[in-house]
Amino acid sequence: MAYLHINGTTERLTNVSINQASTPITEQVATTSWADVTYSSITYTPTKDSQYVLYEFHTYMGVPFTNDNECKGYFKFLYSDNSGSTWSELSNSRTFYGSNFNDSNTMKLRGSVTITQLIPYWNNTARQFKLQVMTFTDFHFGLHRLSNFYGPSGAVTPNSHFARPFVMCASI
Amino acid sequence: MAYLLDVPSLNNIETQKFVHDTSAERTLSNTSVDDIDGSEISYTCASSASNIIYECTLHLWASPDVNNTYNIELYEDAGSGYPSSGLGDYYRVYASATRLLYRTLLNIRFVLPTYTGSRSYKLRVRSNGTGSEASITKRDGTTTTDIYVPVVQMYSII
Repeated sequence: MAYLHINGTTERLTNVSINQASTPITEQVATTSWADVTYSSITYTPTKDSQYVLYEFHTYMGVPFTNDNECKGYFKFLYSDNSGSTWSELSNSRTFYGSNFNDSNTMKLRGSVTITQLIPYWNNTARQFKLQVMTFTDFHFGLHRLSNFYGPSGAVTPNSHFARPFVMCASI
Repeated sequence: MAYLLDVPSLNNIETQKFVHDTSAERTLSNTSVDDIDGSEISYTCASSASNIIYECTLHLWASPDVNNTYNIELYEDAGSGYPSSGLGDYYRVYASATRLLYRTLLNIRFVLPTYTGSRSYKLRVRSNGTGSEASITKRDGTTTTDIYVPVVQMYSII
C-alpha cells in the first residue's frame, strides 16, 4: 500500500484485511501447468457501495534454489463467488516476472515482490481470490524462498529462510 | 491519511506516518553492513492495533558491478539503540540480478507485532561479495547527487 494517496475526499481505503502465514512457507517451484500460489487465497467482503477492492500479495520470487537460471513466472488472478466450487479469471489481470531471454547463466532475478490487483465492486457479499503461477519449458521459477542471505557474519545457513507471505484486501 | 473515514467502524488503518528524507544519500551495497540512508522511521502504534506495517520503496541501481546483490534486513531500536543484529527471519529481503545491469524500484513490506511506546526502525544492506556491489537510491546519471529518495511509511491495522 505504498500508494495510499487516493484521489479526493471520497475515495478511501476501508475495511483492510491482512493475513500472514503463521509459519514459513516452503519453496514453491512452478511447473508448466497452472498451480495455486501458496497462501495467496483470501476471502473478502467489501464495504457496502465501494468502487473497487484492492488485492495485494507479497512474497519473495525469482529463480528457484535448485535451478537458478532463466527466470520466468506467469501469474493469473482468479475469483470465486461460491466458496471455491468454481473459479473465474479476472479480465486483463495477468502479470509476469522475469524475462523471455533464455541463455545459460543469465536472468538470475530474485526479489521481494507485491502483486496488486484492482477488482470492480461486485456487491456486499464474500468473494474468494487466489493467484496461480506457471513457468515455461526451459525456464524456471520459484516462490517464498530466500535462497541465500548475507548478514554481518557473512552467509547464513542456506535453506533456512523461507517467507511468511501475506495477502491483503481493502475497499476503495 | 487521505482514507480516514467519518465512519469509525470502517476505518481500520490508523496512525500512518511517512518519512521522505530529502537529505538521503546514495547507499553502496558492498561487503560491509551499512544503513540504507533515508530508511529510518520512529513510530508509536495505535493503541488497539493488531498488526504494524513497515514499508519502504527503494531504487536499486546496478553500479558499480554488472551483477548485483542486495541483502536487506530490518533493524529495531526499542529504546536502547540499534543492536548489532537485525530482526532476522521474515524481516529480510534478498534481491539480485546477474549479468543484467538491472535497475528497478523495490517495495519492501514487513508485518510487525504490536508494542508499547516509541520504537525506531531502519534497513541495512550488504552485498554477497566484491563482485556484486550495487547502489541504492540512485535513480539516474553518474553522480551521487541524482537520488530517488526512499519512501518510508508505518501504520497500524486495527
